[in-house]
Amino acid sequence: MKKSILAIMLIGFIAVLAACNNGSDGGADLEDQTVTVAVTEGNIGQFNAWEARSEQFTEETGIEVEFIGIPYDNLLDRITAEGISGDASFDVVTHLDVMGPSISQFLEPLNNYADDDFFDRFPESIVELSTYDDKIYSLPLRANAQVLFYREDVFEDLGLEPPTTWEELEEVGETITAETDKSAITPYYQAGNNGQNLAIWATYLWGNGAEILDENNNPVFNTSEGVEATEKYIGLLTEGLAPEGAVSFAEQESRTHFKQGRSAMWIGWWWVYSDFNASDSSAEEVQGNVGFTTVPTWEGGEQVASVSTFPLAMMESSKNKEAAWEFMEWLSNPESEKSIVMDSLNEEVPADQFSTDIVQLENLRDEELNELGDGLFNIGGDSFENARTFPTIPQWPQISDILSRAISNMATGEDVQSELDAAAAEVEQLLQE
Amino acid sequence: MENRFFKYILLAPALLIMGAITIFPLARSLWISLHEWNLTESLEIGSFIGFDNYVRAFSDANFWNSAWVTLIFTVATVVATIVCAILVALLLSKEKPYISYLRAVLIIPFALSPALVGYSWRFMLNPDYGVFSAIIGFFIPPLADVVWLGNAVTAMIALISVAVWIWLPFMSLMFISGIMGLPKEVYEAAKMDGANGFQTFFRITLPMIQPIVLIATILMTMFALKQFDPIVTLTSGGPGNSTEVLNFLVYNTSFRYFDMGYGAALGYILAIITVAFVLVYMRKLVKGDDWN
Repeated sequence: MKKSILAIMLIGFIAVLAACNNGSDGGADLEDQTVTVAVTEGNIGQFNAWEARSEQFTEETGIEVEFIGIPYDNLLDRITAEGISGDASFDVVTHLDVMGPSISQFLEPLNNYADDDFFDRFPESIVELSTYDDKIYSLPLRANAQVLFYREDVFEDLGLEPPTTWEELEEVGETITAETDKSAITPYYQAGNNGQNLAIWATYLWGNGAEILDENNNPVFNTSEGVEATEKYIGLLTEGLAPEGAVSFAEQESRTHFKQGRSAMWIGWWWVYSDFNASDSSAEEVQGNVGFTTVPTWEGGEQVASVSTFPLAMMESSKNKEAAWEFMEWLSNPESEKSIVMDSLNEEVPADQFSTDIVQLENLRDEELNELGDGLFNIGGDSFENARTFPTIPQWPQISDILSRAISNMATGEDVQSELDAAAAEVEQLLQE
Repeated sequence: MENRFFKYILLAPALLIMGAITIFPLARSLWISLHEWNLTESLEIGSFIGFDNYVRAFSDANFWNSAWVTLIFTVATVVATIVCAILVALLLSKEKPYISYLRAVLIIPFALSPALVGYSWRFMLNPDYGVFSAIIGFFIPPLADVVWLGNAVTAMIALISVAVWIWLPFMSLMFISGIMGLPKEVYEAAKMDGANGFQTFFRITLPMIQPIVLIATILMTMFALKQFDPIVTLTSGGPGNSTEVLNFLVYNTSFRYFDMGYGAALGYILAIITVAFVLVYMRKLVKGDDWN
C-alpha cells in the first residue's frame, strides 16, 4: 500500500516538473496556437502586407496567424464590447490613437514583455500616443506625420517656393488664386470624424506658443496666442485662399479636392503621397506633380507638426498572449518594415500590399529608402521629431468633439474669441465633473 | 387541469425569448440610467444616484440643442413626407399600365441602405463636384455657390430632404393602396353633384383616408425620431452641432464617451418622447369611428 502511494506521489512529482518545464519553454507550447489579429477594413496596404508576410512567421514559429477585418466605424464599439465580455475574439487589434485612453483598460500593458530599449526604435512622439499612466499599451507600427503637399508644376510655373511660414503660405496662396483657377489650399473644417479638423488647427496653435491644456489639464487654447492662431487658420477660408466648400469637407473630401487638381496645396498625413501621384486615383495633371515639405510654422516660431497613430495593441483578455507578443515583436523588426516598403517602391508586390509606412528611426533616415521614396521618409522623420501630440487623457474624445464643433462653428462665421471661450468653459466643466 | 397549464407551457419559449431580448435590456438600461457609470473608469456599474442623470440632461445645453434639432427635424420630415406622399399617391393611384411600372420604380430609394443614401447625397451636395449643386446652379444661378452642408439652415434642409427622399416611396405606397381601395360610387356621386377636383379631394378623399394618414403619421414620427444612419453619413451632426439629433447624442454619450449612466438616461428620455407621440396619435386614432 505504502509503495503504491509512493509511486503515485513520484508520478505526480514528475508530472509537476514536466508542467513547469513546459511553462518555461514557450516555443513548444506556442506552436499549436493561433493568434487572431483584428485590423480595420478598407484594403489598407500595410495591413495586407502584414497578412501576406504572416505566412513566413508561421513557418518560422509554427504559430498560426489569422487576420479579421472590422469596419472603421465600428472599431471602438467592437473593442469595447469585446473588452467588456472578457473573452475577446481577437488577440491583437489596431486602433486609432484617440481611442486609446478609453480602451486602455481592455489592453495588456506591453512593458511586461519588452524593456524600455525596445521602444527606443520609434520616435518619442508616437510612443507617447501609446502611453497612458506611464505604461505603454501598444506598438505604434502605423503612424502618420503631417506634411505640406504642393503642386510642383504650379509652383514652378509661377516661380514660387514652397512656404516655410504661415505668412509665406498666405503670400504664395494669394499669387496662386490670382494667377490660376485653383484654390490655394484645401483645409477641412467639418466637425466630427474623431476630430479630423483639429490636426491643422493644433499645428497653428502649438507653433504660436499656445497649448490646448496646461500641465494641470486646464483649457488654455483661448489665450491671445490661441485666438491669433485660430483666426489665422480660419482666415484661410475667409481670405479666399480655401474653397468655400472646405467648411463642409472632411479630410477625405478635401483630399479628393486636391487630387482633382482644384487646389495647389494640402496639409495632411504623409501616407497619401503615393495616392496623390498614383495613376488610378488622381487627375492626370496631378499625377507625378506633387511634392512635399515640412508643415509651415510662424515667423521665428517653433517648427511643429501633428502626428496621428494607428497602433497595434494586445487584448488584456487574450488567451494567447505569449504567441501574440511573438507576432507583434516579429512585426516590429526594422528589417521587416523596411522590406515591406522596399518591395512596394520597387513594385515587387501586388498593388493591394503597397505601403510606404515607416515609423522606425533607423528606417526613417535610411539612405536606400529615402532615395527610392524621393526623401519622403526624411521629411517624415523631421515631422516626427517636431511632432506634438494631443493629450492622452480619458476625457479627450469629448474634448476633441467640443473643439471640433467649435472649429466648425467658427468656419461658418461664428466669432473666434467667443467660440473658443465657450469651448473652454465646456471643457473646464467636463474636466471638473 | 392539464389544459390550463398547457397554454402557458406553449407560451413559455416566446416569453423567455421576449424577456431575454426586450424586457431584460430595457430593465437593465433603466437600472444603469439610475447609476453613475463611466466605462473608461470602471467595468463595474457605479454608485446609485437616483434620477440625477435625468436632472443633468435638463441642465445640459447639448441636450436642449439636440431636443430642439430633433423637434424641427421630426416635424418637418413628417409633414413634408405625408404631404408629398399624398400628392404622389393621387398621381399614381390610377389603373394604367405605365403607372403600375412607375409604382414599381418608386420603391427604389426605399430599397437603398440609409447610410449609403447619406453618403450618396453628401457627394451630390458637394459644392465642387456634386451633381445636385451643378444642376441647381444651372437652373437657379444664385444658388450655384451655396455650400449646402456648410451652414446650419441649409444643412438641416438637406437632411430633411434626404429623410423625405428615403421614406416617401413607402408612405406613397401606403396612400396609393388606400386611395385605390376607396369605393368608386362616392366619386361618381360627387361628379354628378358637380364637385370639382379640390372639393373631391378635401371633402371625400382626405376624410376617407384619414385612418391611413394617422397610421402613416405614427409610423413616420417613429421613423424620424429613430433616424440615425443618414445623419451620421450626411452631416455627422454638423456644422457645429446644428443637426445633432437626440439619437446621435445618445450614441456619442454612450459609445464614444462611455458615459453609460447618462447615455442610458438620454436613451430613456428619447424613448419616452417617442412613446408619448405614439400615445397621442393612438388616442386620436381609436377615438370615434376613424379606425373603422
